[in-house]
Amino acid sequence: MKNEVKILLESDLLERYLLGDVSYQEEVQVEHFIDTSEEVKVAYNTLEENLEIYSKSFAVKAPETVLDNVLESIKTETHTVDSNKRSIPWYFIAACVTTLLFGATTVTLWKQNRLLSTTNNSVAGQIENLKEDIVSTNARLENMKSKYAVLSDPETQKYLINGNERAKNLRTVAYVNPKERLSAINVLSVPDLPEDKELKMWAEINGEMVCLGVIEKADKKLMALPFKDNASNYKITIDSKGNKDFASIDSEVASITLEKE
Amino acid sequence: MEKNIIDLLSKQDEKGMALLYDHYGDTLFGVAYKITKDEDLAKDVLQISLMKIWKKIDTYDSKKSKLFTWMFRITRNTAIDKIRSANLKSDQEIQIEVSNVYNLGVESVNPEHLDVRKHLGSLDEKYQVVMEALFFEGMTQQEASEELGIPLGTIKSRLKIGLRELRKIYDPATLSILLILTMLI
Repeated sequence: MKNEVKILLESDLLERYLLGDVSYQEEVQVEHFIDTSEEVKVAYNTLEENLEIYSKSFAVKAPETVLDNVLESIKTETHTVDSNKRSIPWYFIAACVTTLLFGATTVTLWKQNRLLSTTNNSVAGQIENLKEDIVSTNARLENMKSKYAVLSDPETQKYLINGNERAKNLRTVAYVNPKERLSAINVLSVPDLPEDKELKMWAEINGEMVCLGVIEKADKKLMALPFKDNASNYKITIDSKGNKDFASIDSEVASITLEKE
Repeated sequence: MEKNIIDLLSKQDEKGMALLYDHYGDTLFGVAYKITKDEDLAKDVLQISLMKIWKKIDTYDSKKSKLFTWMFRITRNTAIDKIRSANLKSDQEIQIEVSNVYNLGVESVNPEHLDVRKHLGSLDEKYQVVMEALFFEGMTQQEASEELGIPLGTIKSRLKIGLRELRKIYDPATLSILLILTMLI
């Protein structure tokens, strides 16, 4: 250590450190010795004092204008810094932040609104469908009510209709309630028919045959029939498709005569 | 005083600059003038150095050096940079003969330094030459050795002896004796 201190003191490192003419490594090295060696510390302090004394020997009255210029520069600089600080006041920053938040909130709400609108349209469509379902169900319910009203009414007359030789498989049950003006038919089975033929239901009113409609196999479901006043009997025919004008005797496959009150 | 100046400068108080100028301004201007050998350049150097001191006071570490040492480094480096810049500029322009004689009026010299300067003359010139080369010419000891044609070992020893003698001269007790002797003579 002593040897290193001696080498340091004999070199110009301390003088160069004093003037700031050292590399970073040299600076660290010298500062290490100043911290750890009292001898180096004293030598450095002496150098500092000597430098100041030596420099003072060359002192020249400094012009006051230099101080004025420096103070002016400081004021200008301070003013510029203050201006820069003032140029971005807190309320400006607050306004910017508020605007950004407002913008972000607006975008979020707009997206949510669009999503809700889509959902709303979907729900409205579903409600509309449900309404239609309700109307349809109500209609079916009314239909069912009327059918079962026919069946449960004690005034209702039940007629079993079987087909003749030309329609052995035809089996139907007809329900007629003249009081409530209701009639229905339950087709149990129908014969196989050519493509151009169909089963038709007729009502005889005052000697004339009135077509009530085409009978289709309805898997034992009760079908309402238009009630006709003054109908004396009902007939079922196998006839050409499209003919609703008259029922020939040849085409008749079943017939029932209604009971008079 | 030094601590007071540092505190004021650290608080960016202009009073600190005024106090610094009052206390160190002449010495720093003298350093700048000694290096630049031009009054206008020295003024520029002093102004730039003081602004650097004002801006960089936060980087000053009192554990590493005295305030004057720190300010001396700034002024010295600024002056050397200024000279290099000026030399570069003059190289690019028409060469003008420059007098080596200092144009320094007596009025501009601070009276309180007159005695100090006077007694600096009592220091052997060989020591003054070495110290000026090292402190004011921006030379390293090696460069001074080559420039002055003096062996490196001699440069080192002259610097040490010169500083030691300088301290003797500026020691308050010694200075008082010298002043009394001067008055008697």
